Amino acid sequence: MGKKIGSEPLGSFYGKGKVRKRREWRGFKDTWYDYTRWVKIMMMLGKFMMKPNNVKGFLRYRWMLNYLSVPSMIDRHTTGLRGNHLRIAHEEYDLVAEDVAGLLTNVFRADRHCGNDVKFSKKCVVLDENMMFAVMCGFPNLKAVSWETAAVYVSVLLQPDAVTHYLDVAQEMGLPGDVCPMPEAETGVAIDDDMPLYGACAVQCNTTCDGSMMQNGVFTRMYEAAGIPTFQIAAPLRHTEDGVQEYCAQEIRNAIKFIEDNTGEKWDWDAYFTNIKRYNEENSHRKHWMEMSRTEYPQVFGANLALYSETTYMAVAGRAQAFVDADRRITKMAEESFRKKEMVVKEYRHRAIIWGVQSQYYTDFLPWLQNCWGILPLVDMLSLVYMDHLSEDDKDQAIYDIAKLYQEMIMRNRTHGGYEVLLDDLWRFTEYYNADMVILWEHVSCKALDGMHGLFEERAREKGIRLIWVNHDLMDPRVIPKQKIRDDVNRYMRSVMREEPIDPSLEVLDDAHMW
Amino acid sequence: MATYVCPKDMILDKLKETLEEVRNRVPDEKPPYRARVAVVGSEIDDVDMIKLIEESGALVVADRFCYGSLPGRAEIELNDEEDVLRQICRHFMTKSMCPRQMDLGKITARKTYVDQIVKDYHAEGIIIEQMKFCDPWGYERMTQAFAMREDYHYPVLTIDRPYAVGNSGQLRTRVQAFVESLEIKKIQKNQKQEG
Repeated sequence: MGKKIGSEPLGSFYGKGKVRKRREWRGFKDTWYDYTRWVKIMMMLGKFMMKPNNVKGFLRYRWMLNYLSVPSMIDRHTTGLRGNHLRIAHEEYDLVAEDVAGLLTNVFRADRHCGNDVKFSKKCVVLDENMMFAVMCGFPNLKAVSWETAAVYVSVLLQPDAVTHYLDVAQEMGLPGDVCPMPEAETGVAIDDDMPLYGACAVQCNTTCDGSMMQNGVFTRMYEAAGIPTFQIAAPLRHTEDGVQEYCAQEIRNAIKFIEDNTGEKWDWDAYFTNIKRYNEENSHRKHWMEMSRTEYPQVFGANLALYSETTYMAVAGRAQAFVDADRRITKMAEESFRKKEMVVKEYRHRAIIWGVQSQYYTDFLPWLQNCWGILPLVDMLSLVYMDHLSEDDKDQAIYDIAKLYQEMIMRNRTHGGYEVLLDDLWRFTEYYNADMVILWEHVSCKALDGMHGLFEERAREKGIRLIWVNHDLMDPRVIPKQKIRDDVNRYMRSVMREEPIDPSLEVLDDAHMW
Repeated sequence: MATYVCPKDMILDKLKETLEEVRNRVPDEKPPYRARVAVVGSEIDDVDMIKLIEESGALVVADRFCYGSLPGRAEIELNDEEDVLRQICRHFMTKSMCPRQMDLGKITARKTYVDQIVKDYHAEGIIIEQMKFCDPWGYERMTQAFAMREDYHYPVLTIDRPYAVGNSGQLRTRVQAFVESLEIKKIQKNQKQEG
């Protein structure tokens, strides 16, 4: 117990309860800092509950209960961290939490079941949670509000079994249990009448997979029945081909026109380019952090990179200055730690690329990897997205840029586009980041990736890369519990690598009932 | 199914011959089935599936699945002005009934299409089947079963099946029960009319 990294067994905090036995002691300065951030989050939750619409929302929607575990979720992701790394993590998670609180406030203000602010609702556009928000960059007076993000995506990050009830509801209705649990849970929310209703119109996209796309159909029917017109961006699947770019650009033009027609707002190029300048800066920061991960001293990586990137890249897309400010502070701290050669855990044994679809109910698996086995999760598939510089002044090019973002959004850029982007790119990245190991998430309900299982194994063997398959069911911990996920790694590390863990107390944890 | 892939010039005369034979066929005095059903859903290229349904007392009067006759047998109308490949592509893009097409107009059209089939072929019930692991039909099976029951008031059996089902006792029992329920409905309807 002390200031030094790895000074106490981190597994000793776990009991049978919802929260850990006690807070981690990180030396006076870091413990105090961590405590003040915890207080800040608690105050944010308190402030959130001061608004009558939010209280209504909290009582109206079953999924809102998950938000009680926000502090616990942040604690899970900052376990073992000290100094700048602790501060970088808090910069990221605290800001994301604040952003989600803002999202929920907007949802409940506009929602017909809660605030029912009709005027405000007419300024809201409902977006599919799994898509880029870039199409909203030219509408400064409109709010892009995704209830799916609040009800399902974030809920599971907070609490592993957050949506199991909704999965059961969807299956009782007749949906098979083998489809992706994310769209399935969202469908369950809608069937269970737990879907907030608001907005002047809705925009969807054929995002990652068949399941996600099919769920769009269910929602379209519901939106239209509620008088919310819906537009579906049908982005091409073979996104690496030049021949499809014009078609996709036209889809974007149509989507913009649709939003204009249904909200009375006009696309504002000045606002768009302002947002895109921020977006470009965010991407340059992220690339800078990822470049650091090529060296012996990575600074921003693992879950910190993955979750923060998902929010800034896809949901924020340059529309909030707060994220750019946070990025600048993070870069400053990361550079300082890099110069000092600071490490996140006491020993680095393996450098890993994280590939495949991550388990949403166990995103703190990546901190566990580094703390338990000294495996550094350098970069992950979801962070390795389209990050080319977007035009900041050319209106014609801008439409093609947005089109490219929709085609190559998170996950979609790998699950569509042919085996080159899913299979070949992985080996390019292992070389580029000088990795000796690949942690391959096998989401058992993801048909897009499961079909490539054999090819991954064959190529890894050819290239002499250590490949660890880690099974999970994205949003359903009943199918594959968290300990089973850890066991996939424990077994490999002990039987194949013949290694002992850095922190043996983390190998088996009693966390099945934890928040 | 063979006619989809067979060279057309080699099979046309055989099809004409079969058509003639069908036209002149004398129907059985007592039909070997107890109910007429339309089968709707994912690809079935296992003939045992249809055999299983028919052995359970149902006559499959219409097949609307991925590679089924409906709408698979729809004529591809060609003109002389455009490139043929483009025309074929357009046909598949606009006429396809694959649930992968998520547009609301298409979603609704798929339901009205099944309603039309049931009427045209005098089906008494619908079997909506989904091959396991087919996500598009997973969703479509759920929504279509709901719509056909609630909006169109047809008796519906929905099944989630593996690729090969010929020996599935469980499925056989379900189809038999469905056929019985259709029979009961028929008897009740007749009694009402008589009463």
